[in-house]
Amino acid sequence: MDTTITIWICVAAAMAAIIIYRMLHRVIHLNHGAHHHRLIELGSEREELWIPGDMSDTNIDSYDDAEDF
Amino acid sequence: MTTLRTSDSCTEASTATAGLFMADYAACLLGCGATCSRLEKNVQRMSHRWGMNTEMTIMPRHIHIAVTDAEGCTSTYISSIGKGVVSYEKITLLSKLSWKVADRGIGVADAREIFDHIKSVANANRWWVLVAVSCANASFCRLFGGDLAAMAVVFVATMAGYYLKQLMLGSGCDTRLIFAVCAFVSSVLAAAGFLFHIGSTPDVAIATSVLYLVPGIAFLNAFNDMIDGHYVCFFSRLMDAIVLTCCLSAGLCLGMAVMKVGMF
Repeated sequence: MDTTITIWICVAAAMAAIIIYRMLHRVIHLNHGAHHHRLIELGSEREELWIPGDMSDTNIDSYDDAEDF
Repeated sequence: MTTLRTSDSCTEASTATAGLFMADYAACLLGCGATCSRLEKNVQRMSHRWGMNTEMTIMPRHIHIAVTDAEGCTSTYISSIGKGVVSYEKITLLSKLSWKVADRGIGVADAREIFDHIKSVANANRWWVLVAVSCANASFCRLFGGDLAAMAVVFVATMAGYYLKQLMLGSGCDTRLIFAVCAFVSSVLAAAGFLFHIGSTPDVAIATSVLYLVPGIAFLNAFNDMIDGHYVCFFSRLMDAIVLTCCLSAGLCLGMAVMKVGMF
């Protein structure tokens, strides 16, 4: 490959890497500040089918408490 | 910014608060990129309203202000000028403050309060500035005869270079190094027109890709100071601008040399 094209690709790739790194860093930093969401993660079936108004996982545990019965 | 005060044989000078305020005001105004003539006018405007006479010595990094009140008591204040960001918005607000003092007779305490508020005004949004500078540089390309493809190349090259400049300035790098590196990156990226045969005016794209780095305000202020007779400040600002232009040229030449375009 021609030297000039190699240099151009190196500079462009370096700039792209800096921009992508900064963007990811910013996204991760913002998520840490608000909620602990990963950029990509596997959710449970309940999280996928959850409808606003449903009980959360923590509240469901209270039904298992034998002392209530 | 630090302020030193020296007083003559008079008892405690009545000019203390006003003098300190004007020293801070002058240092802030000069740090924001105002010219010496603007500085003199604004400070004189306020001091006359407060019944004082001020004499200033404006050095590249310091300002000496001698304040004399109606009783003839003189105090001298020395302020050092911090390296701030050029902000026309702050210069405008500071000038308005001086007019408020002159026209409405605002006291020193109120003026200080407004001054503290002006100092805390945030700079322009960096993303907006990034887009605006890129558009402006692409327009320069058009003005110099570049076609649409060259404008697009310049837009991208400017955006990358200016983003890098913002990052390096934020990390406290040397300004001269920043100018050389950004000029190199922008010129190399703008050489895409030559390498990939984009558009019919790739030479214009390379030549205009670094125009956003030209220290125009420093040159303008320097010549304004020269016309006004402030030769020390003129030489100081001119040297700053020349050094930055040399760094920019070095980066551009290196970029053109490795891309084997233009004069190399």
